Amino acid sequence: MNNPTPSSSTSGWHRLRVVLLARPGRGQLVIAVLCALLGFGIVLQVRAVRTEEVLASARPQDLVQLLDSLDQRNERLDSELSDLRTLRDKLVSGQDSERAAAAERAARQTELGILAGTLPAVGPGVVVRMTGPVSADLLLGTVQELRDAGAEAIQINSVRVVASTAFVPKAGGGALVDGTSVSGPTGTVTISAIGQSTTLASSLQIPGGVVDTAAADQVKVSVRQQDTVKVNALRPLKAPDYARNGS
Amino acid sequence: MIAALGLLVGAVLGLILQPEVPLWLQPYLPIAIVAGLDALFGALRALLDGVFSDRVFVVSFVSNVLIAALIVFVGDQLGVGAQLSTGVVVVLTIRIFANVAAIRRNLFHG
Repeated sequence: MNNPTPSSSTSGWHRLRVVLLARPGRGQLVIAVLCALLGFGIVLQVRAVRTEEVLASARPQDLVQLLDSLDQRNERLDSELSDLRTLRDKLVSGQDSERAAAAERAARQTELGILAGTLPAVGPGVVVRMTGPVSADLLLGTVQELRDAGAEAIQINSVRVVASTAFVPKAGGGALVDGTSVSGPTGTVTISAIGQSTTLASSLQIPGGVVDTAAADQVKVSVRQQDTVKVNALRPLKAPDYARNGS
Repeated sequence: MIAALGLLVGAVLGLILQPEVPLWLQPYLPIAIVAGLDALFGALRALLDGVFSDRVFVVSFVSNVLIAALIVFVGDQLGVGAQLSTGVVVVLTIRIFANVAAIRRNLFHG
């Protein structure tokens, strides 16, 4: 290549042929080295572009921009995450309070059911059996005495004693409890009461108490303390016709 | 002839060795390659015009590569590296097109 053909009129093709067939000289060696470098670089770059990550050859500005957008996205996702966390916490705590409220409601329902006589009750207490002409007064006195001693549920024979229970003397002896005949001139009345059994028993047996009063009426009274007393007579719930919530 | 051989040998070497491009070279290598290609086409054109000189080729090749790298380097320092590399590539590509056009004229209309 370092010996150009002297004739300038020779065509390019001819020169090309001459150059290609020329013997390599020292100057051509340098050119060859440079060309080798070029080829080497081309292959290197092509491989780098193909195999390496785009990020590795990216410019600082591009990287900064990329990082910026990633940061923004990260921030957005973070705030979304905290939002969702708050929502979840709210839902969980809501569920908890809902559950607590449900438990509270159930407990209250049981309480009120036992008080109103719509639920059967069981627990320690006393069973009082009265044999003889049991009067309404005696029954009323007994119930009051039991309530005073903390009885929580009372039933007379098969009549549940509740807030509205009335004791009415029956013509010819005996008593009506809420319109149901529970005693006559003879026969046995069974009163079951749930509460602290010793307190209930002693409240009936104090001197001048129910037992003494009954004895004066020729009524025999037996008081038995039991670990499980069943008060299972029920009473339908009656919605108040006139009373309204005043609170 | 030997130049084409050199190009081939270099490419084969690159394929065989599979070297990693050093990090500091990464922004400059593509520009340097385009500059080298420009020098190569310029040499081919000069050859066909009958004015080829190996010294001129070596100097133009080296200076082309160095100046291209320098421009990109300065651009990177000034914060306009991406734009300047684009500019360098555009200019070199125009030169390559012009050289190729001259070569074509020489070969097919000369």
